[in-house]
Amino acid sequence: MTIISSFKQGLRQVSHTKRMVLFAWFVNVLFALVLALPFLNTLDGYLRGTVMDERLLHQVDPAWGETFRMDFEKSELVRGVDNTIFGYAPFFSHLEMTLNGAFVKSIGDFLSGLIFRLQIASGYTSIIILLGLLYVGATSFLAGGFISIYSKDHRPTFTEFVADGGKYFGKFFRLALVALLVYYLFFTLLVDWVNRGIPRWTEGAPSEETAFLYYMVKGIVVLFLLSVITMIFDYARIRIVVDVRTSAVFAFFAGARFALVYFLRAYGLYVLLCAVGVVLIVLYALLEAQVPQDSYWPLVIVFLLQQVYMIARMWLKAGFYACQTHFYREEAKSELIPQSVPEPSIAS
Amino acid sequence: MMKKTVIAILEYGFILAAMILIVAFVGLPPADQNAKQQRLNPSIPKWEQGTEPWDKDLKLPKQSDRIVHYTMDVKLDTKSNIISGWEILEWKNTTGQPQQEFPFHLYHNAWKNNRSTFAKESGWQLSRPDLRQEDYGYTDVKNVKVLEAKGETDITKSFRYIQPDDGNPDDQTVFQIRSPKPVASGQSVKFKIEFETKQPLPISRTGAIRNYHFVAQWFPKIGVWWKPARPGGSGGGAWNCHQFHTTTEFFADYGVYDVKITVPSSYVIGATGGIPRSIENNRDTTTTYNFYQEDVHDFAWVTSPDLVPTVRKFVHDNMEPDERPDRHHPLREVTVIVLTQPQHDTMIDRYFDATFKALRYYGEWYGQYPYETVTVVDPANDSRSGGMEYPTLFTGGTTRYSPKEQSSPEGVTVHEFGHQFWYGLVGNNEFEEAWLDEGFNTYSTDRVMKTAWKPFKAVQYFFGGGGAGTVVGIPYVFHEIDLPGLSPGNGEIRRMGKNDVMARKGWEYNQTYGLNSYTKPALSLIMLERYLGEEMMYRVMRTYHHRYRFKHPTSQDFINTVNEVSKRDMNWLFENTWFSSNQFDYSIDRIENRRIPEPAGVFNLNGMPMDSAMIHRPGKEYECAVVVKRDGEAIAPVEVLIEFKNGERRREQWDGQYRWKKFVYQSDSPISSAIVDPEVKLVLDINYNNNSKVVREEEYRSLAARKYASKWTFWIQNFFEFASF
Repeated sequence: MTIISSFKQGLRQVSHTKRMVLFAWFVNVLFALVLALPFLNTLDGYLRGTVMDERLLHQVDPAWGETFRMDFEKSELVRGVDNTIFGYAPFFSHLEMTLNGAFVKSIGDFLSGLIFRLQIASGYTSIIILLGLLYVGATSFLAGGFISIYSKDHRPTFTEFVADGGKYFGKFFRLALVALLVYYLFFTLLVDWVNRGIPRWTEGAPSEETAFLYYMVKGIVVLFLLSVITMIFDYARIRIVVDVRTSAVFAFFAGARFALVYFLRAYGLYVLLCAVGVVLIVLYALLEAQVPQDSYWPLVIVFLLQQVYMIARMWLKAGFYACQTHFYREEAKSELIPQSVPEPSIAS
Repeated sequence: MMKKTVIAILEYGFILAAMILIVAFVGLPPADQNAKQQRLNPSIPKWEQGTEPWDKDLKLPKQSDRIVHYTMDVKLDTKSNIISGWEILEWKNTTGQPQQEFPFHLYHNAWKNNRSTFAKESGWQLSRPDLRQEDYGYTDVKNVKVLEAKGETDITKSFRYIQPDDGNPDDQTVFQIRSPKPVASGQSVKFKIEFETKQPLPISRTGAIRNYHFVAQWFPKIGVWWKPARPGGSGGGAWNCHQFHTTTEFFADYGVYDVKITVPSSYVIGATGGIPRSIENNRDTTTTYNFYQEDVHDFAWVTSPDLVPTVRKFVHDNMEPDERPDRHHPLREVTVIVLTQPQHDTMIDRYFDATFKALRYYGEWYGQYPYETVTVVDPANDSRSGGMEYPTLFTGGTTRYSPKEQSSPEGVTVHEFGHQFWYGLVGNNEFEEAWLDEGFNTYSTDRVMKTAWKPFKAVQYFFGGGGAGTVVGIPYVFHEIDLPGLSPGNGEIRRMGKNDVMARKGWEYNQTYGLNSYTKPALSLIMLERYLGEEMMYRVMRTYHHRYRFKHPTSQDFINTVNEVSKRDMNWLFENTWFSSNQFDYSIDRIENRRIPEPAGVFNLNGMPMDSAMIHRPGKEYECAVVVKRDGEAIAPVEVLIEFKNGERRREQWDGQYRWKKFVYQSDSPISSAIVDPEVKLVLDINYNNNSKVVREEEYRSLAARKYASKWTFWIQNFFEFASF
């Protein structure tokens, strides 16, 4: 089974599951709205009665931004907003946070404080982090639904998608906790050690190019290792569904075994899918930069562009599930999941 | 069938949710905007031909009083990092009274151990972890002699350390010696001091790291006899020779420096004076350079085999297209020497461009740069010598990855060059009135940056961190965000401004040295400029610089100049800024629009009921009011701009004294908006978001709020996707 054929087959399957992809986008939007609407109300109340309203539409004012943050210094939502909301900086910011394990470490530190020291560290009870944890639960649900429908030979229904999501939620959530532990150890034992070491190791270097090189190599290595670990967990989920596995821990090892045995093709497929993601980001960045955002209709266009991007991202996520499931099913020598009698297909 | 219904409902639900989302964020198209955008900064006024130039009597001094004359001969041992040699200091007594005791600075002793005042104020440590014994620095005086025509007298026995600021017996940054007999007023004395300076691993501004040696504050330097009753007069004044504190800089008299420095022949050298008068190659593979500079108050140098020298000439004799004829002053040719690190070859042009622009604008505005050379040093990584100024030599700092949209090295180059004027040519006491150079220079730097360049952009570095003594990463340029430079709503002033009165000695601040030396005084000068007008401010600053070049002015000297040149009493401004910790905060409290009702009730005239037709009607439909408030404790006169819905505008003045002021009108049209301080003269206002109010319809929603909230929503959506595992 070639990478390209898995890629094509997978995306073909995704094209039959548009409603599920839209549903995933809807879940994403709902979670974001929980934070975004209060922020919008705060900002609207602060701006609407002043002349700054018109000025800020045309020009970002960092000094005004500082005043705003100081007036709302107790608001975590306001404190969480910085320059990285502009342009395509969100992608840089999030990738950097991913490579440094910011999210995982925050949750891990919060949980370890709770379990081992019986205390709730206020620095980790960020509403954003807590919502992120809930979102992990939601994506566990969605992942179960997606992988299950892509492992079937018939065209899936939305009902099956929701039902299977529920069916596999418990196992997938347990697997997510295993993933949290693995990532936490990865970041705290390895990545943090390197991050602390680079300033020391390059302290006497005559040129900043040395330090720059260290960071770039570290970034590439971490990205590679992170992608391998993520791929392993992807196949762990697939094996839970396809092989009807119960134990999340054993599924992790099973996923690792598969990923390593078929490493070159599995990773090749993974990289191909990531490349599609990069293309989407570049397209978004290029289009967004063309729109002057100082009046009503251009803002509508940008907003729609953002949501189209997010839908495309959900489509790509489904593509990961579909392509990798297809690849596994074709390559694996283990028993396939017995197929239940397909329900009559419902005309869409 | 049931399932079909459920699916259909879900689909409609998605569509509805999408529509709600769009309306929630982007909303409906807005109605007419009521408020107009106000012009912020007054432009430079056009010049009109007058009769005589206002500054025809303004003359720059040709030279300083030359109170000191240092002759030195030193050698650097690059293995031990020790500079050894001697200095002959000829000191001229212009104090108006005989002097027999002479204090000197030994700044390097701040890094001798962790008991110095510098170390104590830094938390009993010297800001580098794990210092080895050989990493500390010092200056050791071997002997002191007085040179006279008939011979020399050894006065080493009179040598003693003193601690005039804090009495710390372990601090050795000031010593005092006593001459055998008093030096009469008008006479001179020559001291010969043999000394040895051990360079530290760089802790603050100076030191040796790898093969890079930045040498500053490295020789015994005599204090300043300051504030006599009259300059050069008798009576009054005292020695001003402070210990070296964490947050203080330097103060010395003007004079002549004639310095011979011997370094290995393979080393490139840069120093005050620029181009050496002589270069002598010695047999032991060293080279001796003789640098000479008149009318400066310090001498610094740098040497390393890695420095790459580039030399160009600054020329400005013809008028530029953007120059006003009355402000054009031919400036002398200056040789600019840029010494860069090998990896910063791409920055050479940027260093020159910034230095040339600074030479031009500082020269045009304040007075021409008088020296033949200026040397720009690109510091080595982790040398801690970047961003610092010395006479005719200054250090910049940048990284290889600085994009052209980022003001690095432009910002630091203009600022440190600018210190040639504020501190170098106008030699304020940096210990006691740091704002007179830092604040003045920050103000001037801001002007140059805004005049000479388009706005620089905000830049953030990703995927990197600290290393090699700097911060590296992949730069991301925020093209949407112009860096505003000095502007109102400064967060640091709001957070920390109440900690201290601005005018304090440099070591007496409660964590506000930076704020009160740089930011607040610079903003106060912008405020002064906006109250006086740009033309008057130009005259004030140019007069002040001309008058106090090669002198040691005080804050009062500047205030007196302001009042004299502007012919206004601006003391209130300084009382509320320099000599106060109060904060400015004026706001529009509310706008009231009430329809005047028809008369109702019982009306009498001389006890007789009145016909309603006889009741006075104002003839206007509305009674409108604007209430302006003073929320801060600092006071300034302010303007209030009131706009009515029919387009009519009123501009009111308020002295800003009481807590509030109400402006009441009877009008055919309600008020639509009000702005206090519309020209943004009060740049020290800590909250300018509350400076305006606009009357909006109930259903109005801010489009700007929706713009930024939708961006943040997108950020959050992506964050959740990246975070989900």
